[in-house]
Amino acid sequence: MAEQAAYYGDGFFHNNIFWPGFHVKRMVGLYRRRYEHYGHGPADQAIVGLGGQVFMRPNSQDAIREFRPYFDNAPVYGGGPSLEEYADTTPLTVGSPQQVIERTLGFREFAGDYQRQLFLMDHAGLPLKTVLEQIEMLGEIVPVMRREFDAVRPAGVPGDPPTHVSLKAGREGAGAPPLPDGPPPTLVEATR
Amino acid sequence: MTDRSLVVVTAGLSQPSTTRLLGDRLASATERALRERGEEPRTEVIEVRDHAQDLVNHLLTGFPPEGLQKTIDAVVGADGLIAVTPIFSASYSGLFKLFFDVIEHEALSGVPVLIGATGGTARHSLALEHAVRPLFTYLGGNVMRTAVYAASEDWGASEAPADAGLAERISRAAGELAAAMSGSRRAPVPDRFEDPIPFEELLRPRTLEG
Ligand SMILES: Cc1cc2nc3c(=O)[nH]c(=O)nc-3n(C[C@H](O)[C@H](O)[C@H](O)COP(=O)(O)O)c2cc1C
Repeated sequence: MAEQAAYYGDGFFHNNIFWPGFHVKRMVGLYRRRYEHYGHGPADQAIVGLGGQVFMRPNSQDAIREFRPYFDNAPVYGGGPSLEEYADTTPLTVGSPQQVIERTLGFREFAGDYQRQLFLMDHAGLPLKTVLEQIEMLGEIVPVMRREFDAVRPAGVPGDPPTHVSLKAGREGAGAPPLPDGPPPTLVEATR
Repeated sequence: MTDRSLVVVTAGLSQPSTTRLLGDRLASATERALRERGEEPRTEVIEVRDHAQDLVNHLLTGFPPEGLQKTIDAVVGADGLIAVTPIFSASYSGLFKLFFDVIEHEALSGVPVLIGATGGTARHSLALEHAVRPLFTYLGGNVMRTAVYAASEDWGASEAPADAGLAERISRAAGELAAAMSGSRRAPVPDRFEDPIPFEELLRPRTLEG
C-alpha cells in the first residue's frame, strides 16, 4: 500500500493503532523514499497521516482505572499483553490530556513531520456518553496540538494536507471536467 | 577467514536444560568444524523460554514486541541454524512450535539447519523425522541429513558406549552443517522495506510462465 501511494504521488495514511512505532516507521519510511524516487517531490514533503487512539481523564490514574476493564475485554487487543505493555509498545495513550498531547507530538520521531492526525475515539466498546465526553476533551486539546505541530514543522514541509475540495479545485482549474462534490467536511475540519 | 553466524534455538524448559546441553554440544562441534575450514563462527543462543510471553502476545495481537522482532531477525538472517527441542507427547514441544509459527513461510529459504531433540525415551527418536524435519522443510530450510536425538540413557559417562554413540552423531551432524555453511554463500534475504517490489511490477499482468 505504501508503495502504491508513493507510485501515484498520493498521501499515505497509516492506521498507527495496532502496530508498534518501529513498524510504522518502516512503512512511512518506505512511502517517503519511494515518493521521492517516483519524482513527486522530496521525501520529507510527502503527505503522511497517522491514526491514534486515546482515552483521557484529567487525572491519568483515573483514565487508567476507568479504561482497564474495556481494554481487558475488547477482543481487538488480543487479551495477551497488559494495558501498560500495550500502551508502551503501540500508540495507545491512556492518561491525562497533557500526556495525550505529548505522546502525539512524539509520533514525529518515527514518522517525520506529518500532516494529518486521526483519532479513534469510540474504541473498545466505550458507551456513547463516554465517547462524547472524550470528543469534548479532544476538542480542547486539538488547538494546542495544532499550534505545537505548526511551531516545530520545518519550513518547506506542507502543513495543510490536500482535501477533496482543494484537489477538485486544482484539477478543474487545470481544465479537467467538473468532479463530484465530496462528503461534507467533518466536525473537526469544519472548525478549522 | 569469513565470519559465519550460527544461531542456536533451544526450547528446553528445565533449568539446567538437557536440550540446551545438546544445543551447546552441537554448537561447539560445529564451531570446531567451521574453524577447520578456515571460517570464523559467531554463535548466538536463543532460549525460547525467555520469549514465551512475547510469543503468546505476538500470536494474540498480530505483531511482535520489539525484542522478539530482533530475535526473529537473527534467526532468519543466520548462515546456519541449530534447532533443538525437548520431545513432549511424542513430538516437538508446544513452545518450540510457537517460535517457528511466527517465522514466515520460506523465511529460512536455503538456510542450513541442524535439528536435534532430547527425550526421556529413545522410542520417540523418529519424532525428528516425522515432525521436526517437515517443519523446517516447510520453512524452506536445507535440513541436514543427520538429526541428533539424545535420550536419557545417552547421557552416560563419556566412556560408555551409548555416549560414544551420541558424540559420534554430534560430530557427524556438525560436520554436515559446517560444510553446508561454508560451501555456499546464502543469497541475501531481500528486506522488503528497504527494497520494495516496484509497483509497475505488481501491476504487470501475470501469465502462467510468471
Ligand atoms: C509434558 C512433558 C511431556 C513429555 N513427553 C515425552 C515424550 O513423549 N517422549 C519422551 O521421550 N520424553 C518426554 N518428556 C521428557 C522430556 O522430553 C525430556 O525430559 C527432555 O530432555 C527435557 O528437556 P529439558 O531438560 O531441556 O527441559 C516429556 C516431558 C514433559 C515435561
